Amino acid sequence: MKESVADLPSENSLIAASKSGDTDAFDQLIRRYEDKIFRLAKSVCSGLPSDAEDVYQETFLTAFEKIGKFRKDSNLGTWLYRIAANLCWMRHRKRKREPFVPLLDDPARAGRAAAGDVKDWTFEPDEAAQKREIKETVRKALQELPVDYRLVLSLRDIERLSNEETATVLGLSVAAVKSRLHRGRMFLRDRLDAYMSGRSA
Amino acid sequence: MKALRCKQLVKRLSDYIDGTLDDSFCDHLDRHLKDCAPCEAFLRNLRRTVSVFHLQAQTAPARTLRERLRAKLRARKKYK
Repeated sequence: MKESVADLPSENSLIAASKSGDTDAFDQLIRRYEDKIFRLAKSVCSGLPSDAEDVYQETFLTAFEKIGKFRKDSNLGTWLYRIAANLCWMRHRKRKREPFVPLLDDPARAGRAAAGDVKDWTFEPDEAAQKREIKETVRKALQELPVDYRLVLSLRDIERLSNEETATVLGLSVAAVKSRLHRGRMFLRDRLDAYMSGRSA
Repeated sequence: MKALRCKQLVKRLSDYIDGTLDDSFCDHLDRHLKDCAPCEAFLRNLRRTVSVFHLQAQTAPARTLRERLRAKLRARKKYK
């Protein structure tokens, strides 16, 4: 018989069981969160699939090690996202200096809307090849952004956390989250523009 | 004068999309967008950016990767 939602053990009881070494309970927690953590890692470690796989695995290995210290009043999702974000930061810190983000919300550039130089995105990708090209454009754009921008964009627009939740995960102010989010979206919009408006076809 | 207004409003478009603008500024922006085709197009493109970014990111770990994680956990001392 298929398990109904009502039959599923509560997250708190799974955490309590995991703290006392119940591996099946911890495995159930992994199942609830692994797709989210993997998506985040893939997006933030853009273009580096083996890094993304490491971050995914390390997040749960670290969580299992530290589950004893997990506080009852915390949120498990937030806690796991924070572990994953720290792992992403550590990897990128080792690798290279952070790129500089062009100020696309600089009035001088964003003001192109005012100059009438805005093409509607008429392009509707329907073929697999077109979707791959969009994926590739996004991947390249993300690589040009610093990791904390990628984290904000991914937590907000892929994982759909609120500004407040994202601020809690990343230890940033809500104002800093909003500013990075807007600049990040403007940057992605700029990079997608040629393709989506059909000018690069 | 209008160009300056557009530049200032573009900065608030993410808040507008997310519904985190205060009501009076939101009304102000609504009125502007009704009369300003480039800003309206810009807004549509920014909304598409958010949805394209969301959709292209959908993925899940491969079965082999999930199994590798479980194997590593089993190998840990506490994970019996």
